[in-house]
Amino acid sequence: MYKNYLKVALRNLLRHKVYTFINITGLSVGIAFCLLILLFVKDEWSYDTFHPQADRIHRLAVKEITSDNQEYFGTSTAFVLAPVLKQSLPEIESTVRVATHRNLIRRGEAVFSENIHVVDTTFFQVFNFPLVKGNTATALKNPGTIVLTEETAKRIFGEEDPLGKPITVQLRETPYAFTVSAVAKNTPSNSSIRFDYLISFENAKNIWGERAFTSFYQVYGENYVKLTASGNINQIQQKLPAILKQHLGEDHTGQYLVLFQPITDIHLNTDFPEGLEPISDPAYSYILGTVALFVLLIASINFITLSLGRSIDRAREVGVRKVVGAVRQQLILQFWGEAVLVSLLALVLGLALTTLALPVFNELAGKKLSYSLFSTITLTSLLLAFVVGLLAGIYPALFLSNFNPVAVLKGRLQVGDANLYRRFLIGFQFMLSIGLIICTLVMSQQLRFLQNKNLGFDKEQVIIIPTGVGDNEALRIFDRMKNNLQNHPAIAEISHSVFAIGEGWMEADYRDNTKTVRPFMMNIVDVDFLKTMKAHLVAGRDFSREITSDISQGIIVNEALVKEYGWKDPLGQRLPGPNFPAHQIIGVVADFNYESLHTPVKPLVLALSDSLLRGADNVMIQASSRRKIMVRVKPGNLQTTVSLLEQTWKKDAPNLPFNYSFVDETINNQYQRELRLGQMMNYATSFAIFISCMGLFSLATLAVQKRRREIGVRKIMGASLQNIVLMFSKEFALLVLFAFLVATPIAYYVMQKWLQDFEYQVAISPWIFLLAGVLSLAIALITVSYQVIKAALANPVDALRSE
Amino acid sequence: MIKLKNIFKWYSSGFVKTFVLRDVSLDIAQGEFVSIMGPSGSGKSSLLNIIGMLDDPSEGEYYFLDQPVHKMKEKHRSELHKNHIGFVFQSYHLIDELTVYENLETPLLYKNIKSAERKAIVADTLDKFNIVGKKDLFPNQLSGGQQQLVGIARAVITTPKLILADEPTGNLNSAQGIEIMELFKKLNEEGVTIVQVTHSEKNAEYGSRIVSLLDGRVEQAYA
Repeated sequence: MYKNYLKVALRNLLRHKVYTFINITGLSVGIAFCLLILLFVKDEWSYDTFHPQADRIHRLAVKEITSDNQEYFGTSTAFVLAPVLKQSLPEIESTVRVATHRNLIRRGEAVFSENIHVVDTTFFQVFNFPLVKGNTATALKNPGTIVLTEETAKRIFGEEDPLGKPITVQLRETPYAFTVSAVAKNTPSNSSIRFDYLISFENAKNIWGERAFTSFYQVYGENYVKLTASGNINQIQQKLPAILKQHLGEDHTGQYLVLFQPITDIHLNTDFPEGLEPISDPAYSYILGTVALFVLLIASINFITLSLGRSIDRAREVGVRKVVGAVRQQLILQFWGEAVLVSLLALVLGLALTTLALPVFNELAGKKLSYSLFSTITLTSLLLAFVVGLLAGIYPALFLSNFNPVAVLKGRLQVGDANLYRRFLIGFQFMLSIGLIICTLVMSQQLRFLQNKNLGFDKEQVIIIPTGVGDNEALRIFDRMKNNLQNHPAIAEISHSVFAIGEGWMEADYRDNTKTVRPFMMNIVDVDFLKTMKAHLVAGRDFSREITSDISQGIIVNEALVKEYGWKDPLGQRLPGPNFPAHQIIGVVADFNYESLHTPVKPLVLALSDSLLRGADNVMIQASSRRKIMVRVKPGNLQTTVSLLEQTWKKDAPNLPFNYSFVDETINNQYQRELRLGQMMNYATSFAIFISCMGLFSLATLAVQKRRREIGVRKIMGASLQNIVLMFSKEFALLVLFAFLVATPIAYYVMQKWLQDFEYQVAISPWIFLLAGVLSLAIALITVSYQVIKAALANPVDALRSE
Repeated sequence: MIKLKNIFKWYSSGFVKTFVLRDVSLDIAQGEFVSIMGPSGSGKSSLLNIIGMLDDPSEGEYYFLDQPVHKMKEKHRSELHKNHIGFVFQSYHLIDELTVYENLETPLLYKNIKSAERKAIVADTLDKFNIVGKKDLFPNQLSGGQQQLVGIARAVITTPKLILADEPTGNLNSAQGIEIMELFKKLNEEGVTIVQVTHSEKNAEYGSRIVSLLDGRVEQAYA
């Protein structure tokens, strides 16, 4: 019997190639889309699950609430924290500290500027980072040993065996001789700890100094703890206040909370600040998942509406089968099976599409996902296709199997019952498409806004060259380069600063006269910094080489800071409080967006030296505090200018690696997440529209076929082409209108939510909605009209004769 | 075999009842060949559909093989129908997507007959109807007469006690019509009860009895 069903099904599919094509392509695109997103989401959610007993590993976070209610929340914590806790808490089995240090690595003549992870020897016991060569027990035992990943080993040593080879690692300003003790596998892409080099924590004192090991207020890295099997966070939290009090001292006011963040929670928990590696917003998984489901839903609706639309074709078969003895259940089973068959065929194509599209998708998503046929994903997708087939097939199966054989076989069949349902489905399809169009348009508008907004300085034509060395050497290199470059016709300005645009600047705080904690952002810059950035002064003057007191005393603040302190005349003012006796404001710079547009412009202090920092209570530094040289070049051939800079660098900073970046690119990178989402939305929306159009096209074909006689009669009665096109279009236009009315408020709401992520938002203009509505109406009408016009132009006599 | 007692059939649209059958009582014995005649709209097909259990009477009693059909559950009725009744239609109603062989096989599938037995039965039937050479053709590759031949073959393949034919020759030319009617006669002689609806006096004469309908009533019954 099933063979019989299968034969009928396959012959039906072959006979109606257009419908088969539309159904299978639509569904397979939907399935492929879902699979890609599934891979993406699976990767996002699998972060750090590869560690043994990952549920027992936690990262420590500290939330400090001062007596005047200032809150500090950080996942970078004091090095002293984990050892102190381990001493007093039997629940903690082991601890690992992980910190990073960017510096130079040399092998012979070759120099590399690298990010080095400084970790406790317990690193390999707590985490699962397997070695390819060497032994986890001894790899980090000796402070002079270094572990490389396969990738870095290849970069530095080529095909040579690196084990036991010497390598020079510069810590702060001093080069140390290290020996390669092991080669680790490259860190998996779903790891929150991503390293290229590992050295023992013994070296930390040479980088951050002895005090970093005793102070609770100097934070440079992350603390991880692994609990014992019976360890319980609640119990720990009860003991913590007493332990902390003992170490912080009695006179510590305010609260000092230590939070245990499960390691598997790090990647997707946006409530905790970012640590050493960027984290991800789970909302993006949800958004993409929803969009993928929409595409699949639209394809499934095509399947349903087309099955219903073609039910007349199958009605006679239903009648005959009933007459020769089929009961309804058997027919339901048959049609349901056909639906599943179609979706399984779509799955095969969908899997092929997934494989083909994966490289493009990886590019879009910035991931390294891989897909193999023999994985759980295939099983999942099989299930998915099955469910789609079952869900999409149920209504057509019920509908078809319900035909009354007498009515069908006598040609008295009226297929009106499913019409309302079908209209609802098509309307729903349009609603999804319109919603997607609106969201895509708003997103692209916001992204364009972000990229084009006036940031308060000129981001074009500025090249950043990180020196990667300590201040003294960096400034020497800068002086040499400036001498060589400042009169070159391709160079407009040259300057330097500790932090470049696009990276986190340093945040400092102090207690003012009333003991209130006041934070401000800060950068240490060169005299020509503002000139090079083309930022504007609104009051006072720029730094000057002639006025020597500027070096230690002059500061330039931004308008946000002036506003925060409420100064009418900021010039000559100084930050209140006993800590900064010798400073005064010499100029006020117009607010410029030194951070991404997700955040407002915070109060900022620019100074020529770090002397101001001596008065600060806390200094938080996220980015490398090594000087960056900043060159504004004149319009022209960028490539030749870059090679000019490289040649000059090679001469002025021999043996140091040359790196550079463009400020505008760095700024765009701040919106990479949004850009990626936007691009994926573009794809999703195009597919959604394409699939619904295919469905609409074939529905129009069916509608016209069914009403050919009516068109013929109307033409004979004198109806014009326009009359007939209008008659058909009205129905679809109403559907689009209805869908538009439902989709608009939902899309508006969703986009409002999304925009809240940004401090600077584009206003959602009503034009977007209008455009989406008109666009979908136009697409619908063009699709429908093609068929209608074809039928309306045909000779009416033919239509009537064929009845 | 068939006993109809005071059968009424009507359709209501709004407040108006349109009667199709009025107080029809009819007995058909096993082995009879009955022709139902009457002008268009006289209720012939409705009567046939009720006999074939494709439709329910609005009122009245129907006994098939002495069992009260009007009191039966759907499932029981479809069992009776599946096992004892074969249908032949004016426009053949073969399944276009299936070959002659597969069309013949379909009723057997619904009777859950095993594959080997099915093959044997289909082969027999093809042989009996002289259509072995056509078994792999699709309906649209056959002439009308050939299609109807397949239609009849499909109706008898489950060896029903009763064949209901609704104007079986209506779409055929006269030569093909005669061939089909001869076939019915032969089947009747083999013991199958046949009820046909027809417009043609000539076809009616193949039967042993004519039931005439006019406006939903039985007009006269010849012995």
